[in-house]
Amino acid sequence: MRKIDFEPEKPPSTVHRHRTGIEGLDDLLNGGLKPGALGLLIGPSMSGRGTLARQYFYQGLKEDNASIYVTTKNFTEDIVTLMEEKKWTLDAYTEHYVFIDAYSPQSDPSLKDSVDVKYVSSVADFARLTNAIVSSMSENLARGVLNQRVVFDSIDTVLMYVSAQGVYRFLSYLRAKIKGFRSSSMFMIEPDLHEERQVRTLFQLADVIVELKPDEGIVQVTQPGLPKRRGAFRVGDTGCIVVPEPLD
Amino acid sequence: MRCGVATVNLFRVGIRLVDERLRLAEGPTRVLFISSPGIDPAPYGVNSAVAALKEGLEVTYLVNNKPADAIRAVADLMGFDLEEWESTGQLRILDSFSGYMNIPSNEEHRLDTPQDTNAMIESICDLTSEGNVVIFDSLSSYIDMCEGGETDGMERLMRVVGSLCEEHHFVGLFSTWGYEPKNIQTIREAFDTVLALQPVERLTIVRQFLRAEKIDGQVVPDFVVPIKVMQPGGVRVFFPKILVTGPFHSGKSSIVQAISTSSVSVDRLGTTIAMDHGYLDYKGFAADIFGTPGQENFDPILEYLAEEAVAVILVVDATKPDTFPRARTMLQLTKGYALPLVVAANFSDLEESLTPDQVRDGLGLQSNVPVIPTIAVRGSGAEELLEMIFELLMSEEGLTLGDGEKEDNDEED
Repeated sequence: MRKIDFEPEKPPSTVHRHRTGIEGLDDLLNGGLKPGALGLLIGPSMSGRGTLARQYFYQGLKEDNASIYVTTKNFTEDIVTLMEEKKWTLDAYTEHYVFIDAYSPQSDPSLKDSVDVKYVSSVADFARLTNAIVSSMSENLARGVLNQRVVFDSIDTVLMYVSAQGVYRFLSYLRAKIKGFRSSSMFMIEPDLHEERQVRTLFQLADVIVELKPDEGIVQVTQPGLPKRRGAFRVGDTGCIVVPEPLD
Repeated sequence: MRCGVATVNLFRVGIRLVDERLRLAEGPTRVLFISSPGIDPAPYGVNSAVAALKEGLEVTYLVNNKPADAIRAVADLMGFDLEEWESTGQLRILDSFSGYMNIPSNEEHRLDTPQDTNAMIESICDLTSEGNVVIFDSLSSYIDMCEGGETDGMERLMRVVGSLCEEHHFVGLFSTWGYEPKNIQTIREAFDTVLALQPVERLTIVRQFLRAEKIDGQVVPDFVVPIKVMQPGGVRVFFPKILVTGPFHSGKSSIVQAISTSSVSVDRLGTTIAMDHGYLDYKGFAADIFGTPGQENFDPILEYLAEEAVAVILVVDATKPDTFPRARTMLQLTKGYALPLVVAANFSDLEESLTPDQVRDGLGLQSNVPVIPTIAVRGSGAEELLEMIFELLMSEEGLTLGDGEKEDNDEED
């Protein structure tokens, strides 16, 4: 009788996560952000919030993900320059990333889209902004790139011009789209700029909250159903450094 | 607050089929474009503005969620040059955005205090003489930008709409960003004509439909048409695939060329070996045309080429009834019997050609299937083919072509 070798049953695969590229932070996040997760990245100015977001964006490119960066308060060129200062050069990753720039058209409305930048004339134009983000995710998916990540820098600017209710409605829709595409995301917000009630409302949308507390030099991670995790946080020459506090 | 006494001209929104019904209206027209999030309603506002400008009406286009230049850019993409209308004062773009953002503006018409509802109404009335057109882009952003939230925004918005609708044609653009259902209903009720822009979504929007909920206050059942913003071209009732099929050397490529605004054929040694493709822009309708090869060795791909076709033009050589069995086979392969079908009886100028009735009988088709005599290489019969295929498509959609089509044709000539 012919012997048939059956493949041993494989253990169930763990959910692939989108690493931030910051080893200690990935530990606090149990490996990174889950696909479909909406992350809120909270912290005051000069807290290292932007560096963390850019590192997460760049890590996506290093892992053959597609990365989308929505900027509402900086020129695209300035973000690229900040990345180059950390040696995070984008040249090798053309067509794997796109900037959605809702800031630059305020000073130059004649800007035309390019391969790596889509311009939206205003952060208050939710239809166009959503369209730019969703069409970018769709284009990536059409190219067979299944792992995507989105940085939204930042909600603060949107809240300056649109009511908190309006922003909540907009983000609710965007959240559903991000989940549909199984993208992970980091939405940046500086709570001190807004009323606490507004910020608390937006917290309801988050699957994970990463909060930077520069006075204490720590980062705190909050995920539903899990204990809060903390770690020491600082920005070094090559990126963010997180040293997790041990679990109790 | 009211602007004055109404004396209004007829108004169109520049969308075939909707306009044919709007023409019946005698008073001011209140049109709401209500769109799902993710569909940008601005092109529909621009399209309406251009249609009104072409009718000789004056237009005030209020924009509150982007710079005025963004509207000019949208128009530019759609192939409309607003400059001349702006220079003559027939079109005024009212910048209500920079006031919100507190940024400088070089616009001639600008609202410095857009939060002040009365000032907004006054400015619009000052700019827009009675009977002319106000386009409000966007109603939803107006609500979102009110500091008092949705309830306050709704109250202010209803004042604006109520004040402006009495004496002006008014077009409002509204995106449904999860507002209270009762508020959305209130907005719907404030307009006589409600045109819903709805997506077919598979993660991203793959197609758009326009559903008329009501026109001039009358509920319109089953009014749903596929629609697309052509760049350039503007808003068109759009059919994504009309298939042209038929036996080898029946003249399919020539028919595709004759009915298309532009076309391309993948040929080798004078015959189609992959497919013909054309784009058609005709009296407010647009369509993509796909032509199949006729040889039997391409039959395996016919089914795929025919996928998602909405109508079929069967091309036969009217002098060769011996090819009709092959034509029937191709209709089966392309599922053409189940779709709106028109037969092009080609080479109809030749002495031995069969009459349309003989062609229909030879193909074993029912008496209601239209057979149009054509001479494809000369383009003869092409217009009749188009008229017939769109009439069938519209009746499939539960609509019929109105009397306006003759007028449209004369204008284009």
